[in-house]
Amino acid sequence: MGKSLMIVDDSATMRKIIMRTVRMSGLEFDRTEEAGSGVEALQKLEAGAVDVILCDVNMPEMNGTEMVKKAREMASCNGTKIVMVSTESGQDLIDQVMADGADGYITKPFTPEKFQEKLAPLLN
Amino acid sequence: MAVATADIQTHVAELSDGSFEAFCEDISGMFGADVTCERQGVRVGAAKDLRKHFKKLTAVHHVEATGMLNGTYHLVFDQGGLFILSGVIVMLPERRIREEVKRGSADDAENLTDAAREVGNLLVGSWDRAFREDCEEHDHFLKTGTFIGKPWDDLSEVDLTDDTELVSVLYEMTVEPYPTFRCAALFPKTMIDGAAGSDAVAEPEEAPAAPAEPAAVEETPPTPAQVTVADSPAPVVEEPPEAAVSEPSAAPVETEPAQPVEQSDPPEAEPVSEPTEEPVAEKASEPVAAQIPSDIQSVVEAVVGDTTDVVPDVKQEVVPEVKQETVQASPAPVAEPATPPPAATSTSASAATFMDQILADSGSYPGDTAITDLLRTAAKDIMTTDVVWSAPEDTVQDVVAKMQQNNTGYVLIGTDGVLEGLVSNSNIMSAISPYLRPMFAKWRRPEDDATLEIKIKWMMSRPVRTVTPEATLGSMIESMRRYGGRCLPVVDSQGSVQGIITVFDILLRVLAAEKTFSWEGNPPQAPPLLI
Repeated sequence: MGKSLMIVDDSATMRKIIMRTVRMSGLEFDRTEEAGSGVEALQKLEAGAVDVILCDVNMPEMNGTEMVKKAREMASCNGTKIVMVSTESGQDLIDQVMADGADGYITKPFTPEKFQEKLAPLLN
Repeated sequence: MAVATADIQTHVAELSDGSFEAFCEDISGMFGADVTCERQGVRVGAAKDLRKHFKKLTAVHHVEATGMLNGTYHLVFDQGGLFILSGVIVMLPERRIREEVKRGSADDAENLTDAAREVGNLLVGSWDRAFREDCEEHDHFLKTGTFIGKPWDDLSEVDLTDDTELVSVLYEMTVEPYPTFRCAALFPKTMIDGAAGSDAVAEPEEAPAAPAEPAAVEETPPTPAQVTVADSPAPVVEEPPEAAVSEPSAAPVETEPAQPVEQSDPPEAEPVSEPTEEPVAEKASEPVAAQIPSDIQSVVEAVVGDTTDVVPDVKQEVVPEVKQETVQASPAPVAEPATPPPAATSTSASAATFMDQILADSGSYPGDTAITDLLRTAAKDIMTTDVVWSAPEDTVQDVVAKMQQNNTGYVLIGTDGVLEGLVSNSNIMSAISPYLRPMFAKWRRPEDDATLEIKIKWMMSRPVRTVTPEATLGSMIESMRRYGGRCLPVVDSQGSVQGIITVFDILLRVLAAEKTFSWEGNPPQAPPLLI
């Protein structure tokens, strides 16, 4: 059965860049969704879970760390892998989001190879 | 105090060098652009004096600093930088970027606001990382907003006044193949003085106890000639009068939420789950639900799968595991014809491959001898040697033209014979706008044409799964079936591409093996003509 991906970022530009990079990485997803905020992402997750979420950290309305916490409270997201994508590279932040339930952290700048390296193990 | 300030100024300028260089590397790595920058000088003076360096539209990113530097400083790009960097990350056509560098209006800039903000995010991320690596006292940089417009019309828009004294580190940056543009880091003098007066400030590494080098200060006052880009047409083009440009509507200031990050440890280990070994190797060892074909038709199905499925081809040529640039096809099956077929339930990982089973079963079905011989045919004997190449920098349109001229559905991408990627007809058709098709000509827009200008390196599949000249047709079918590709370049032990094997080559061989079929010529493979 095919995998599904959701990209959560308040920047439409960055969502496209991430989508393009995922495509270039060779990872295959049968279904992809986008959300412009943590709130929108949670609404979409209520309607249907996805296998992988790539989520920005700095977002208005609800930031990535809050979204991870709330997603982890949703039964439908039990099996969902959440990977944060951010320019923030402070170890404290990384530790915090991992403790909150993220499965991985990708720092910008990213490359297709980095996506492959970080996401492929989670998909298996 | 003055000596310490000069030291700090020099130190900050050096850190700025490293930070802008990190940004150039980051943009190069993410977007495949060749980006370089060079410091033009350091000046200390009133904010209003910068007007001559940033005459037209300007992008100003506000950065809140904690650590060695405390307060807000600004990272600035001139009009060229604004449009070139934003355009590159959203892959605008080169022609449009050049046009906007020269004559871009506030409305044009507003259309790129989101992209400009992302440039700022990446920039500040690069700066934060570079400072972490090179400055122990650094804590954190956070971009708090982006201004796009003409700040020198009203400096309060960027929280400065005409007379705010700034330490400005000025640069020229070049993103090939575009004109050089200007950028700068603007630090309030009070911020530098504050850093100099702080107990936490470390002495410069090279001269811990020495007084400040006068040169560090004398580097400061660049003449206008030093910061003028002689061969940079964009920044010196006289701006046509545009009433709208100076309107504040084109100058959105966005505020981003603060993040409570206070750690300055270098981010070495990214705590993603441990790397697995060879995800695809695991995949490859999965039991194959083998259904042994009993006739040619089932071999055809084994090769092409669902022949109605066109779009997935785009991804299917991408090898899931990326560790290796090239992957050898599985060894040619050597099962002996006399070997009894595995039991129907024997689909364990250690069992023979799908094609092994076919070969092992030879003789069990009418006409299988011909198939067995066919499956043992070497790649070198059936490959197409007339291979079409294109350069990574070529556009989609260039590649479409080559496909049409050569009636091929596959083009190898590389430079000097070094294989970097592979592009299929399906890659192309999924990358371009559907409005380019003749039936939609009436509704065609400039944005649709723009998709033809995308560089092919962004569309190509990579890395490329290849086979050796000795690989058997059976192993190639196995490879295509398992990994989904429809084209396998044939590469010899020296790494030279000898030819390609496409699914069409295989199908034609299969048809040729069965005398009741007749065929001639090559099927149309190129994408349809686009108007």
